[in-house]
Amino acid sequence: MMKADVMIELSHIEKTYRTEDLETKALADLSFSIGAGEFVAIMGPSGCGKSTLLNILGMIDRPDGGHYIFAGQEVGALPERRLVEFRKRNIGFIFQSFNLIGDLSVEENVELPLLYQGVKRSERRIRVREALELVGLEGRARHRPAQLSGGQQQRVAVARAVVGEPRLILADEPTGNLDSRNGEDVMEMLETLNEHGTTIIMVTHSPAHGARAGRIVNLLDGRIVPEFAAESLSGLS
Amino acid sequence: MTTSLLPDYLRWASRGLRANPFTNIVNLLALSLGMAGFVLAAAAALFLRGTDTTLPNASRIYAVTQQPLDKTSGFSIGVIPMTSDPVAAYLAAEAPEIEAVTRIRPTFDRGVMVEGGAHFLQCLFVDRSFLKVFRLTLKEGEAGRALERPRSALLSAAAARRLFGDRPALGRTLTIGGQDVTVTGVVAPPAPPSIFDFPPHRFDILLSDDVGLLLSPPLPEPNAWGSIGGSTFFLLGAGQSVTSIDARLATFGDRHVHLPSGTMQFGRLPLGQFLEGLLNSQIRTDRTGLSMSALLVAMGGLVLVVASLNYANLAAAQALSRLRESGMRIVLGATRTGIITQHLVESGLMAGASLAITLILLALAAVPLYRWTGLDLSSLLLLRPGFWEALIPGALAAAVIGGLYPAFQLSGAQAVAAARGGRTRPGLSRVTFLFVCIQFLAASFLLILVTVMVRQMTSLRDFASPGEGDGLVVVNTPLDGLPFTLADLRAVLHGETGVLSVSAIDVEPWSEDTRSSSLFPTPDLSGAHANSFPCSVAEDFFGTIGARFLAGRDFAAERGGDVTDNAGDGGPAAAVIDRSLAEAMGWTPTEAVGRIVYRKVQGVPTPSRIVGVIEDRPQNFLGMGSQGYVYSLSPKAANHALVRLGGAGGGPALATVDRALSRLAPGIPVQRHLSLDMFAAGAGPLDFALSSFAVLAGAAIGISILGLSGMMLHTIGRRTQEIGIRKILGAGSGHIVGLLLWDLSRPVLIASVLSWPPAYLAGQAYLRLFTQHSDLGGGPFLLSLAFMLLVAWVAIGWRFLAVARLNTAEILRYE
Ligand SMILES: Nc1ncnc2c1ncn2[C@@H]1O[C@H](COP(=O)(O)OP(=O)(O)OP(=O)(O)O)[C@@H](O)[C@H]1O
Ligand SMILES: [Mg+2]
Repeated sequence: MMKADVMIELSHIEKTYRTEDLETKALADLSFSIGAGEFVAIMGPSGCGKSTLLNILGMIDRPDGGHYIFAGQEVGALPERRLVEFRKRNIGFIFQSFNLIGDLSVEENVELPLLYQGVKRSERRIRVREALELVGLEGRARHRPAQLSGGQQQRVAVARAVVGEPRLILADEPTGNLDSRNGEDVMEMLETLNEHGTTIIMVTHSPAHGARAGRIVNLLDGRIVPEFAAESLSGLS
Repeated sequence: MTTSLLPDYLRWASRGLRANPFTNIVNLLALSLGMAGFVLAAAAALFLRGTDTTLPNASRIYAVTQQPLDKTSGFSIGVIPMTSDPVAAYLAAEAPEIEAVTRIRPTFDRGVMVEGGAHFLQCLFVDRSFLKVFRLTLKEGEAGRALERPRSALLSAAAARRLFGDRPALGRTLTIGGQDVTVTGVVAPPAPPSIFDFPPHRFDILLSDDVGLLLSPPLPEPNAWGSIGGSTFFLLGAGQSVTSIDARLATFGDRHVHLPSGTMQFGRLPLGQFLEGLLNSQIRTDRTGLSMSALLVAMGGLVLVVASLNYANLAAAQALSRLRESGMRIVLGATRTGIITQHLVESGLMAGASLAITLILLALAAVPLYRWTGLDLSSLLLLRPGFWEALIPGALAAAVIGGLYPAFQLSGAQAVAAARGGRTRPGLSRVTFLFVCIQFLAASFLLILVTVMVRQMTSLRDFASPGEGDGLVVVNTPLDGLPFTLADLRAVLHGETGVLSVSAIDVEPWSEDTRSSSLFPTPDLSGAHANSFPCSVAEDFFGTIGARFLAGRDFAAERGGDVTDNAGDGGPAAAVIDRSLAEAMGWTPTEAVGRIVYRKVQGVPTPSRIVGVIEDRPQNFLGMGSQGYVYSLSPKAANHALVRLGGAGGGPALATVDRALSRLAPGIPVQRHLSLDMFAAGAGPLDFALSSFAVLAGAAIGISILGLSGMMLHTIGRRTQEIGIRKILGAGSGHIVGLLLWDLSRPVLIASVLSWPPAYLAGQAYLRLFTQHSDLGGGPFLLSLAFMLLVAWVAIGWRFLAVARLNTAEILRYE
């Protein structure tokens, strides 16, 4: 893989959570890189630091140590304001629990990223419609999230993640709350997006879904498990 | 079996209260504040309606009320518990049911010479029956004889101490206005609350009527009926019915008052209600039907309701967090009634605790309150059984109102749904929003009224000083009782530094004098007219009080015709009116100049020619219906000298005036005040109303803010997830804060706008009490809206900053 294609470069990332009585090392000396256009699955047992890693990659949390370079830009050096700018133009999010805003309609939920990017009203309408068509929910634009099934809600979340045309989509167990049918739909959508050039990093507990990614990063206790070991681990399970 | 569960309810309730100490303390304080507001308002109302109840025969003592009615226009200044001088004598002569009638004539504070020193003492002229009606306790002297002999003087205990220290006062001689009087008794302070602690009956010294006849001769009839400056009290004979007196009083005016212009209506008021009667005459209870005590209780009740709603809201917001628990209870077999009972027990505990806090608050407030206002809480409330009988059900009602709403919310279907794992964070109900709106509506209403009142007071206060930095000295002692004339005073003060001009007026500025006369544009006395406040003034008056001419000219002493006293030979007398009166007549200032207006003098239209129009410059508080001032040049009637002092030499110039007065009237103490001081003294009742409204408005705003913050805490809790999502999608902190601020401002905005119409009406009604009043305009409305928004933002909005900075990863972790 050529150097120019590297999108994300993590080196010696550390993250420790401290509560009064407990110190948890969520990430320890983590280093790896991800190329532009890759589809990476992050896997590992519960509590191994997957969400923590995703939060740091998504710039909604900062590491305690190490360097995070995104598209040649040192993220740790960015002031908060620039970080927000950077994030909203480059990254889309999908969560396990959908995280739609209950008081807003489907189209308003999808429209939000564009609103915050300062996109013009007329253009916003077109792009929201396109995003909803992509996930097959154009007929539900005026519904409230509560009026949709879980699978439909997650599709709205996907539409919201792609509407801003980000270079990177971070998905934290996007299929975790869905049955296999709906999970399959979401996976297909992610694959389509990846084919069109969007980089995707997905946390999943499902080996089947993980296998559909181009690469699997295995975490254990905040560290990357070397690939040969990972194979033997999956062999064990 | 609800009863057998009671101990469990108590246990659960106390656990629930301990679980949220901060919210519960806030809740308790708000409820206590509401209760204290209500109790204070009730105390003030009781105070106004319960003076001198411990005086012997108090239940048989009545004040006579008088109401002048203009025959042609039907204009009236209202029912006043004060009377004209001749009432007492007629009543005593014709009513055998009455045991005693007494007439009290208040007078300004007079200089009293005692053993070579001069003191200013508040005097009342009283007749011999005074001590028969009011059985005041005497510390020295004998009640039966104290007022029998001519030239008797009764001192208040405080005045006796001031004049003679610990030495006995009995038998000593005082000199008042050149008359020697002998101290025949010392009056012990009456048990508060008493009419003798408040104007116009507050006294240092009671003088027998024969001295009064010399010092301040009463007007002869029929002119005496034109002045309502004293009071008449009667003691009903034991076993007599007051209805026969009522029958006499109903026809009293027709039988005794023979005035060409109008008539008088008479009535009576129990002694205990005298103070309220006085205030009611100012708020025109006869026209509005609103009595001062009812107004106070209504305002206090409003604050209590606001506090109850607040409790309901905070309790409901708290209850939401226990929705699942409640649902589980229902699923496990608790009945609806059981759940409701549990919550009522909880709110009952809260009400009991706030009652205790209220009492502690009141006990702490009692001493300063008594010192500042003379309001004795313990005698008014705590010692009366009625107090407890009213307060405890009131507190219980507050608890039930406050507890029912959350109880119903928790016992309903929502709770069961929560237990089944449905939506666990339901939105705040519309009811909560409505409650907060009602709270702010009340707060906004009160605040607008306070703003209107403050503005009116400030604009009047400006009139009390003649100009930037200048002072106005009012000589209270009437010139006709002094051995010098206005011309003498002018001559002595002429050329002194700091003395700008000297003039005189017939009514003391900022006194409680009320008068009104109809002014007609044509000689037809049944036609349209305006109500004016007539003043007689001396030369240089307008310059002295700092009035500006808008059109026409000042009086000129050289033109004999301007002097009303000489009028008759040279056509209509000259008159100057103010802008408001010109407007009331339908004229611009320029149009008004040169016009002839007519006043009714003994039934005959008497013309005056308007020579000038000044910018409004009122010199009294309440207009009692008059729409503006009319001034005539009448030096003989202008009995109170006025001296305008220049800004720079203010202090020394005052000393110059004092020196001049003592030189012109050697040995006679001459009373003088700065106009601003007279303003401050006269503003008492208005200040009382203003400060009680301000306190209530403050309490209402405070409680509303608590309610709003309860609502917002809940909103923030519910919207945390939304905020997190928005932040991840790129919303800046400013945007989040703006979003929450809008949520916060909405109820304040809605409530304010809804409060505007009633506040507008109330503000108009208040301003109409004054002759000259500031226009209502939009100012107070926008100001109070801005103020409430600001308070809400400052009190609550700062939390949003923290919310907006919340760690996004943290927020979503828990969703
Ligand atoms: N805010 C926090 N405070 C303290 N400890 C935390 C915090 N967030 C995460 N942790 C701890 O850090 C470790 C990694 O947490 P993380 O949420 O990244 O795990 P995960 O791999 O996403 O697990 P799962 O698959 O269950 O979602 C865990 O041990 C967790 O308890
Ligand atoms: Mg996780």
